[in-house]
Amino acid sequence: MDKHELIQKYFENSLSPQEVAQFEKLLSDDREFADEVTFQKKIKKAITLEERTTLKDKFKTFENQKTSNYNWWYVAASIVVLLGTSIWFMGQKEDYDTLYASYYETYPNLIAPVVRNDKETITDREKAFVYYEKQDYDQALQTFQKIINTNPNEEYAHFYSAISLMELDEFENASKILSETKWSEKYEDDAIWYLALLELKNENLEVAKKLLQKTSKSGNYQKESLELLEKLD
Amino acid sequence: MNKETQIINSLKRGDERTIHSLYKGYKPEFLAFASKYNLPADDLLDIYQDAMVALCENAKKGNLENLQSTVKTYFFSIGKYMIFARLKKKKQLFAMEDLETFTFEWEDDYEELDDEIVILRHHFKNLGEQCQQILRLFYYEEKNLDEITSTMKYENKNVAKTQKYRCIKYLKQLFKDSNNG
Repeated sequence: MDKHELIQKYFENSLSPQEVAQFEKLLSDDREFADEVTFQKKIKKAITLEERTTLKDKFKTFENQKTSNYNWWYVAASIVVLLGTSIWFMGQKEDYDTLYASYYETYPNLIAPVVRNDKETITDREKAFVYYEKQDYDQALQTFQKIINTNPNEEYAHFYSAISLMELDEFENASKILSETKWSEKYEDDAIWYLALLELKNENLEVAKKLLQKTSKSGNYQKESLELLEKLD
Repeated sequence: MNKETQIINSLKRGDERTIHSLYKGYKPEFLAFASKYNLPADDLLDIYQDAMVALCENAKKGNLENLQSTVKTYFFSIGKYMIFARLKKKKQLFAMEDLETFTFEWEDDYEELDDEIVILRHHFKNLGEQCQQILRLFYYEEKNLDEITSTMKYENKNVAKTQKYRCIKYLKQLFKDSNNG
């Protein structure tokens, strides 16, 4: 039988006993065949991971849909309150802390997907992101720092340290990392955006505007940057 | 068609309304049941969601076809299994006796989760819709080529086979390129 077909039947779980024998033999004798099986097993895992994460993320949004429990008048009342506050704000100097709070979002974990397993030892990187996702930013920060101590070139560890610091309200230290690190293209845009928010919070409006002009040209923060620039003018 | 079959069929289709109503429906009872185990509330919610993922996944794989119990009983067995697995992991488990009758396959063997899988996941997400769909059906939902042919409305099995082969090849190419670059 054709090798491709054997692999296919393997994944379909439809190999006959003779085919199982043939499959096993190829697995031990034919390097290329074995590599192909390993590769496709990895595809299977990657897709499984993706599907499970997507579904679980959806469940998390179910958890956040709490508004449906409230009566309509609650919503109506909130709108009135909101309108009231925004009218009040229009007459005031913009409250920069509020702006910071409404634009600041925790940067997502894009490095090490957190999945449970029974393995006893996990790497520091995995550990750091487990803490990060658990919003234990203190522990996350310590672990990121540990990673930097062994390998100062781990850019993500610097970046996520800065975010953890922001989460811990240690704005000055966060600002120091964001402004003093030489970022690669991968984090440059993000770093400028967060730095802009910090400068805004600190009422350094001219610096904030300059930074926002950079992030307003392209990238992920274009829309927000333009909005903020408009509000600051 | 009875109500149970209806639920199973909706889950197989991945019907969002059914998933949402089961999610909301089972939750209070599950959390009440689970609260007698000594686990933090965050863990319990996490387990609840994992069990729900497992339920949806098994429905798609066709593992609920010959279900002897109701979907709800099945779901609670999964949940219980996962609670025990979590307790075991935390070394808080003393007895597992009343689980022996429940067989449940849940490969959670991500200890082998290496960078390659993370990279593959990334490339998978960037594939065209058709490739994602065919690979999802084959590897995740564990459908055979005949089922894929009819779901994807391919002319015949050979078309499905060629298409799947192309998608794997394409994914492999993306993977190789990112490893060299």
